[in-house]
Amino acid sequence: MNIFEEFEMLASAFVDDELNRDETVTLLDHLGICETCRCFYRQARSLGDALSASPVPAILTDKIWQRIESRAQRRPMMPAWGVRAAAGILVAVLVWQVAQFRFPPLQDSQPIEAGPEESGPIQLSLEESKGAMSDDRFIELTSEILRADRRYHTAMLQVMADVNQATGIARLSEESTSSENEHGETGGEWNEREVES
Amino acid sequence: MLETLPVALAQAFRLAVFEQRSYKEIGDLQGWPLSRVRMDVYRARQKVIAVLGPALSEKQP
Repeated sequence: MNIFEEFEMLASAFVDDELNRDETVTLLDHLGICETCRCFYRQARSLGDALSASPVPAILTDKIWQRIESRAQRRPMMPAWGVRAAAGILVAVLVWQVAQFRFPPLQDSQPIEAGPEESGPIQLSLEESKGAMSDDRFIELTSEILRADRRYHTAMLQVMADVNQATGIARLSEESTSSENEHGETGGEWNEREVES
Repeated sequence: MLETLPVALAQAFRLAVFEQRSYKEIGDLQGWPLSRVRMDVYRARQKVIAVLGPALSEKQP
């Protein structure tokens, strides 16, 4: 088994959520520099999405972000190199989800319902897409990144803005004021989630 | 597709991907160590990707 196969096997297990923390960090570090293994990982994920019998929710809401924020404030920091790798993977996952949404498989080609015209909380509904990961997993990974370094907040919010722009169903949140009150000093950061429509 | 795989690989793939069982469950069911489960799921996935690769690549951004 050569070095690529070693990492591909890790990627395969990662898709099945079967890696421990150290293996995950090792894999993410490698994926950041190896296009070959990144390609295998993308294909493995695509395969899982295509074959999975149960749809995975991929709805990004204010509530989810609040849970991420809450988790991010609880635990100690992880090494910066791990954060960089995890951030790269998370961005890739989000981009992939956007791509799934914009270029859905034929069996998922039902029209996506447009949101109501009135303003409301930002909500990205990818209900017809078999998303790449569950809400809980997304929250776990994202909070891990933010827990390690608050500077990633800005990057994450930019990703969300890009997602909103790509899907075209983002809506401005008029509840940001109340959200700010609920989250105290972090509320100001959540305001950054608002996207120019 | 799975019929073309060796029986053990097909079984590992079916349990892990279609039935979404944990590697530990698969190991317990099959009497395999975790290292073998991981390897067999990978080998099966590798072969399926080799066949479906172009179709999967079309889905990439």
